[in-house]
Parts: sequence; structure tokens; C-alpha cells
Amino acid sequence: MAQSSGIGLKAQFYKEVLDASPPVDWFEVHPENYMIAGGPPLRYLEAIRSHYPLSLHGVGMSLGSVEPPSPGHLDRLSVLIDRFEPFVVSEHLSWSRIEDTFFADLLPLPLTHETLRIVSANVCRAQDRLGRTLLIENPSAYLQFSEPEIPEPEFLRELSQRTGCGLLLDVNNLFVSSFNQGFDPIEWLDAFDLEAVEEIHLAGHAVDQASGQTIRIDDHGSPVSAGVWDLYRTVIQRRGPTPTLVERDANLPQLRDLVAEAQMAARIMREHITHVGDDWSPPVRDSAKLAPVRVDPGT
Amino acid sequence: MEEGGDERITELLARPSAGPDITTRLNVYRNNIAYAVVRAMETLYPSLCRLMGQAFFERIAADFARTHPPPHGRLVEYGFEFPDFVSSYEAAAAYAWFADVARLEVAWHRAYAAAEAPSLQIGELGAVPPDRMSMIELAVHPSCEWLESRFPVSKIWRLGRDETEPDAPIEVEGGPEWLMVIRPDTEVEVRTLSEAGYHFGFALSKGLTLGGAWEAACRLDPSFDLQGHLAGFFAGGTFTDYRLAADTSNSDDGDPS
Repeated sequence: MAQSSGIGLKAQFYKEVLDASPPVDWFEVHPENYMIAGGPPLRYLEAIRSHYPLSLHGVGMSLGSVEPPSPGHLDRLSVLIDRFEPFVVSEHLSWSRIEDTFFADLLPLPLTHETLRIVSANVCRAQDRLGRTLLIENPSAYLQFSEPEIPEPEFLRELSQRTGCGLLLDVNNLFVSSFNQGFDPIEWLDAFDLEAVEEIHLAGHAVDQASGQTIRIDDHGSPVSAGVWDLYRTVIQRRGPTPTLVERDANLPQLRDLVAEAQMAARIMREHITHVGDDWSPPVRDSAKLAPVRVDPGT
Repeated sequence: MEEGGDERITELLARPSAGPDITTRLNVYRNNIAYAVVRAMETLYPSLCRLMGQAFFERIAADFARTHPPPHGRLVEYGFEFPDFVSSYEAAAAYAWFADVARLEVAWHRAYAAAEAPSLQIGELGAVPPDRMSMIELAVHPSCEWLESRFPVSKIWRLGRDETEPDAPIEVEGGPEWLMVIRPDTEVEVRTLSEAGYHFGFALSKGLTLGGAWEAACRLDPSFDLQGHLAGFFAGGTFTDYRLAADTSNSDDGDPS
């Protein structure tokens, strides 16, 4: 799986994926869209899963909320995991929920020691219930809290060490956050635990102007930008080939355009292997896992 | 997230050293939240969105989201209270049929995402002795939804869904409709029934025996065609199972006349 690349599966692509079997290695979906009793989306996902490995990328767990993840949500996710046997299950370092109100976005957390305790406990609860490790993703951020914070890469490293979770590095989010907050993404990577990264996300973002100031917005609405591809090359040089996903949620192009982006990621990974020679092997993490990540038997 | 609480929030935030001010940054999150919910509503109510026009729909959906924020992260199961909100929305008061189009879209969506179940074939009732037929209770398909409207709501809904001109102008006050929405297999079907046929099926779905449902239908239409309606419902995959109600001495369901 290491050098593999996939794309986010949108409903608009179901039929074409089944008819044309596009040359991508795997697909990823938001499990929340499949937390229904039955119907065409589940049927399509099942049919596509019989041909491709699948990753579940959650947006509804709200691991940063003070209250623990909803047991009902974990139950529903568990049902999907049993049914679709994803090779990874991921979530975000963010919050979305206060009691019975859900904000449909990945909201930022003050990265304090208290937050680290809360998120670690929530990740452990989720992993215990699901019987497997999660990957946790760095969100795109537009602001920072004034309290003294643990820098985000250290926070994620510590979270991974405390909970055994893996990390999902969203290169576009890093690019967007570093621009909006004025930090150096390379320094961020220097402090980040790349060895814990088991999946990478790539996506496009918008460049908006607000009262004469530029802000980059993570809208998944355009092709991966040149700056993000450059940062991705740096990540691959340091980490080696890592399963990479191209996400697109708005202004959907033709499926073949997304396939081409996924193939671009695969090419960058291959070039890296050629560059370092055949004896390259991925770095091995020494931290113990709660449970082995199930890999699709067909891969 | 309402605007106006900015001062309390900004106290907690670091002043950006460069780039946009804090309010602009907060608004990115506010826009994301509003956008996600309106997009979810658009997915659930595609016909209503076209009938209302994009701008008006987005306004009413955003107003709905402010008073009815999602209670969970499953936006595929959000917004089912919207029809009632629409029916009491002042700016839409002149379009009383909006709410029923919304109700039909909820029924369509529920049928679309309902549990799967194989349909019962009418031949399977052959094992029931003729004198017990009136005691049959039928389980309706989990995707089955029922909708009564004083408007020709399915015609209006199709107009919005298909974006094609109808063969003839739709008379909005052109009479009521009785609808059953069901997805026995892959496709959601919206079926127009007679008033008696609707109440016959609806009575069965509420657990009445075949005899009881027949009686209910005959009250509306004394010449109600039991055989024809039953065959039609079976052909459409409406039922998944049957059983015989316990025979009680005062039961006399079999003869509606």
C-alpha cells in the first residue's frame, strides 16, 4: 500500500467507477454519509469496495469536545467498519459539537495541556470502542488562541505517543494554515513526527481577498496547487512513499482529472524510490499499536 | 454561531501579526458552517430549491439552520423538520404548496435511505385458507411512506425535479393527491393512488387486517376493487411479510357490506 494513491469517492462518480474501473489504488469516503439503514449509497459502496480498498475518513466524531465521542456515533461507525473493512479509519484534531448542537465544520482547538488530556482521552475511548487505531489529521486553521499553546506538530506527536494513534498529514491544510498564520511549513515538518504518518491528504484551496488582505481557504474546490505539490515532494523525500489521497468536494471535475492527480502523487513517490535506490524501506515506528491496522487482503 | 459575540471570542484569540483581522478569520468558520448546512438542505430538497429559486431557498434554509442547528454530524439525516418551518415562513405564505413539496422530498429521502427488505409475492398468500383471508395482516416495506396533499404535489415536485416543462400547465388548486412513496429495490417510486386505495394501504401499514382495511376503503368508495388494489400493491413490492391475526369471536372483518 505504501506508494498507493486514492481519491475521495463522491456519489456523482459511483456509476463511472463501477463501469470503468479507473486506475486508482483505493477510495476514501466520509462514514457519516453512509450512516443510513440502506439504499443506493450503501449498495454502491459495497460494490465498489469489492473491487477497491477503502478508507473511512470521519468528520463527525468531534474528538476535541469536552464530552466524549457520542456512543451512538461510535456504534454506527463500528457497523460500517465491520461491513466495509477499511484499511484505515481517520478523524481530525478539531471540535464540532457542544451537547446537542453540531457545527458542520472542523473548528480549531486551543492547543493546551488540558486539551491534550481531553483529546487523548477521547481518542482512547474511540479506539477502545472500535478495536483499532485511528489516524488523526491536522486541520486547516484560520486563527490561533491567545493562551500559550503547545505547537501543533508537538501536540500531534504527543497525542500519537499517548494514544498509539497514527497521524494523517494533510499537506494542503499545512500549506493553508502556514500561510494564514504566518509560520514556516518546513519548520512545522521539522517538529512533526513524520514516522507516525500513515496517510497523506492533498487538495486544492481558494485564495480569497478580504479588505486587501489575502487569506487561503481550504475549500477542496480546485486542483492541488503548485505550492502544495512542492510541499508534498518535501514530505515524500523525508517520509518515503505513504498512501496519498486527492480530495475534491466542490466544483467536481471529470473523474479522469482526479485520477490524473492521484497518478501524479504516485509518480512523485516512484521518483523518490528511484532516487534513493531499491534498498529503501519505510521508517518503522517503535511505539506499540493498540491493534494492527487491517490491510485489505487483495493488496 | 451568531454574529455579535465577537468580543467574547476575540478575547481568547491571538491578534494576527499579519493578514486579515480576527473577524474575517472567524467569518471563514461561520461561512463554512452555514455553507455545509445549506448544501445538505439542497441535497435533501432539490426540487423545492429549483421551485423557490436558489437565492430564496438559501435564505430560508439558512434561517431554518439558525433555529434548528444539526443535533449530530450526520447531515444525511438532517432537516426533516423543514416542511413545518416552510409552512410557517411568512415570506412563503403565498405558496402553500411549498411545504407539501418539502414533505414529499422528505418521504423520497426516507424511502431512498431506508432498510433493505425483499418483497412478498402475492402467491405466498396461497397457503391461507379462503375463510381466513380477511384475517391477514401485512407488513409493509420499510421504505414505504404515505403522503396526502390538498395540492397536485407530485406534479409540482416533478416540475422542480426534472426541470422540464409539463405537457399542460399545472393547476395548483387542481385537486388533492394521495401518494405512496416506496423503494422496493434500487429506484424510489412515487405512486399516485385513489383516496380509497390510499386509505386501504395506509390502514394495512397501521396493522389493520385485510378485512379491516377493506372496510375502511369501502367507507370511502363502496365499489372499492379489493382484488385490483391488492394485486397492484403486491406488484409494486409493497409488502414484506404476512401473518394471520388471532381469531376473536367478535371479529367480523370479512364483510364490509
